[in-house]
Amino acid sequence: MAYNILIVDDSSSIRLAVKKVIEISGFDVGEYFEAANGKDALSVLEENWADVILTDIHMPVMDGISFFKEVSKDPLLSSIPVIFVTTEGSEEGIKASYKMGAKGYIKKPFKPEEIRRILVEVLGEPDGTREDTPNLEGSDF
Amino acid sequence: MGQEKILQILKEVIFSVFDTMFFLFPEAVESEKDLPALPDDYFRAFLHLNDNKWLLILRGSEKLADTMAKNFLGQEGPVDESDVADVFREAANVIAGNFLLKLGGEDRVSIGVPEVEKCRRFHREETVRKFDGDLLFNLGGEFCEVSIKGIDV
Repeated sequence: MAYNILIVDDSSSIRLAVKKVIEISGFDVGEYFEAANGKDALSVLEENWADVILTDIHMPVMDGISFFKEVSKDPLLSSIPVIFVTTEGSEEGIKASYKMGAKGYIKKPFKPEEIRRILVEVLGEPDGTREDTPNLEGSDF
Repeated sequence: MGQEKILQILKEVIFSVFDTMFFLFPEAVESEKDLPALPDDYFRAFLHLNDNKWLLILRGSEKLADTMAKNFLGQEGPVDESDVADVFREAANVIAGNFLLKLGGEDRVSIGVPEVEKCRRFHREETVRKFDGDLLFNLGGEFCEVSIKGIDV
C-alpha cells in the first residue's frame, strides 16, 4: 500500500531531510505533500488525502499545535495520525502532545532511525523494504 | 543559575547540535591566537526567546554555512544560497530549543520564529567580548559566534 505523506515545516531543508529519511526507510510512498505552515497544510488537505502528517510546532502564520487542533476538529481529517517533529523535547511537552492525541513525537536534531521507528509504529512495517535499504544506524539529521 | 553555568550549557548544546546535525566539531576559542580569520561575508540567524526578553544570535562565515548545508542535506555539489540560509536558520532554531530544554524552563519560555540574513563586512570590534554572553568557535578554520543576550543571572 502506498502512503501519502504530508510534511509541514517552515524550513525547506528539514522537509527535504525528513523526505530523504522516509525514502531510504523503504516506505511505499504515493505522494509527498509539503507545507510551510499550518494554514498552508490545511489548504493541502482540502484537495488531497494524507495517510500521515509530520509537523513542526513553531511556524509562522499557523503553528503546529493550532494546525493539529484544526485537524482534530474535522470529522474526516481527525483520523489522520499526526507526528510532531520539533525542537521542543521536554517530557511535559511530549506528554501534552500525546494527551492531545498526537501519535508520535520526534525531537530535533533527529536520528533517521527515530523517524522510521515512529512511522513503523503508526503505519506498520514498510512493504517496500528492500535488501539494499541503507542502514540508518549512525546517521543523524 | 550562574552565568558561567548558563554559558557552559549553551556551549554543550552547540557542540551537540553541530555534531549531530552537521558532523562538525567546534573548538571553543578561548584566546586571541585561536580566533579564525574573520569572514568578509557571513550569515546571521537570530530568534527571540522568553517573550522577546532574550535574544539568541548565531553568526558564521559563508564557507561554514555552506559546509553545514552540504553536510545536512547530504549534497556534494553546490547548494543554493536560499538553502544555505534555511539550514543556518534551522541551526539557530535547534540550538535555541535544545538550550531551553537543557536549562529546564522550556515549558515556561516562548520560542520565536528564527530569521536569517546574509551580511557583509564582519567588523572586528563585534567579536570583542562586550558582554559575557558571547561564545566564539573555530570550525576547521572557519569563524562561528553564538551570543545570548538578556538573560539575568
